[in-house]
Amino acid sequence: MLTSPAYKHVLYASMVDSKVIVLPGDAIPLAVGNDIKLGPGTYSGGGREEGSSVFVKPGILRRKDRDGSSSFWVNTQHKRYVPSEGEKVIGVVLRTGRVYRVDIGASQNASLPELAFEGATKRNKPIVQVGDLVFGSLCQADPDFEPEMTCVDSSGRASGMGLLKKPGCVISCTLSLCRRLLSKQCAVMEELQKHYKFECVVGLNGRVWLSAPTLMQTIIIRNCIKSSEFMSEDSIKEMVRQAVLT
Amino acid sequence: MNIIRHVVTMEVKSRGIECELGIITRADGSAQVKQGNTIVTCGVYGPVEAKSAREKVDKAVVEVIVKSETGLPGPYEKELELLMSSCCETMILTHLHPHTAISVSIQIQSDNGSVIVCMVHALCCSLLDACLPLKTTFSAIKCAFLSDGSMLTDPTTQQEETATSQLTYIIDRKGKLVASHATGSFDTEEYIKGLSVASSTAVHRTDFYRETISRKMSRIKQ
Repeated sequence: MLTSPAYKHVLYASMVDSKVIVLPGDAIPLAVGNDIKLGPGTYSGGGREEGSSVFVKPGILRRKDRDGSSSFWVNTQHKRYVPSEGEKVIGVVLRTGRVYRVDIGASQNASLPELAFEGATKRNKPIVQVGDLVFGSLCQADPDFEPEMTCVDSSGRASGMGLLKKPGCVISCTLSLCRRLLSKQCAVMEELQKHYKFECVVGLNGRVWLSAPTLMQTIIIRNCIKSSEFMSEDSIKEMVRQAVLT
Repeated sequence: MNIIRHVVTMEVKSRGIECELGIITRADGSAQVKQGNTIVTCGVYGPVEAKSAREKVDKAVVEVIVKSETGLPGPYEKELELLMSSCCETMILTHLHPHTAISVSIQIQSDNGSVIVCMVHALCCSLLDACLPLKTTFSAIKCAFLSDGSMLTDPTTQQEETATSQLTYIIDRKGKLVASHATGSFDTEEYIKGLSVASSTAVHRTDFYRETISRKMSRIKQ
């Protein structure tokens, strides 16, 4: 049990950047009178007393305070994707018909209705073939049901989603790298943007789609993204600089 | 029956544990654990799609396969599979992933005593590597009782051969018993003595797991 004073101190202090490692079974100290939200990697038995809420996944503890409430979650390093509602993912069409079957790398294939595209009507459907790549958001991801995808937002617009028709390539990376690629201060993306013009779509299911004007550039960008996972910011800058020279 | 718990003051001797995570690249979580010359590799795949015949509507199905160093799987491997799968089913929060399967393969690479202990540690490390939701971490310790009544912890194969009874305890992080495996003849007192020794090691094992995970997470330098 983590009951040492140092641990509690860090928990209660603002600790967005400190690295506290949690293990399954560590209790979440619930501060009285504070609104606490529990995010990924935590499990709550329902009660408010200490010990009823525990961490269930190993990783780095994260905390964010906003408007008097604090949220706790665990930064983990997954390989397998578990669907979650609202997340944007890249899938491969496996079967066509009224409802497309899409492989999103989860335990079950997602379903994508053919009318869930921008401007699609019964007369005017998108042309989709088996093997096509599609970028969409998950509108239904309950573990008891099949995940359901959609390529339109609530107002019926595509807002960036849809079929990925341009020539490009898909790389698979760990889920934590994908999340990092989407953050605003992602070093490898910032560096690559300085040197190349390219399109990049990041799915939270561990797939990244790339499209650059030439094959050589696509390969360089792919290699840089893949090897940036365990690098510091300085070495990423150096790596991109070296890669551009070749 | 009135059972008096022994207060153990002896130092628990065990061989050092070496662990390497992510040794199987295609698995969702994997670990290789070395304790002395006993080496076990474990791979976890999941949650994946379950076969419709085995699928359960309220929880994930756990399948465990144990492979020995050489030869075909026999009754001993099946016994170990049963022990490991009961361990998995208690520890993994299977109800969070209904309609899925979690498959675990454990390969014994070399056996120089206390192989179940090594298997449990490899299993726990690879479950942690796969980030599956667990109730707590768990560990194991083996005690062997010799004919003169003395007790050995973490015995090697040679020491196991001289023992009259061998007891393996799988315990959670608070030192509570999860499962046990016993061979030979022993009495209740010996069993309880072994258990209290096992409970005293729980804290060190938790520290070991925390160190392992912190090593894994420290690879990210941004």
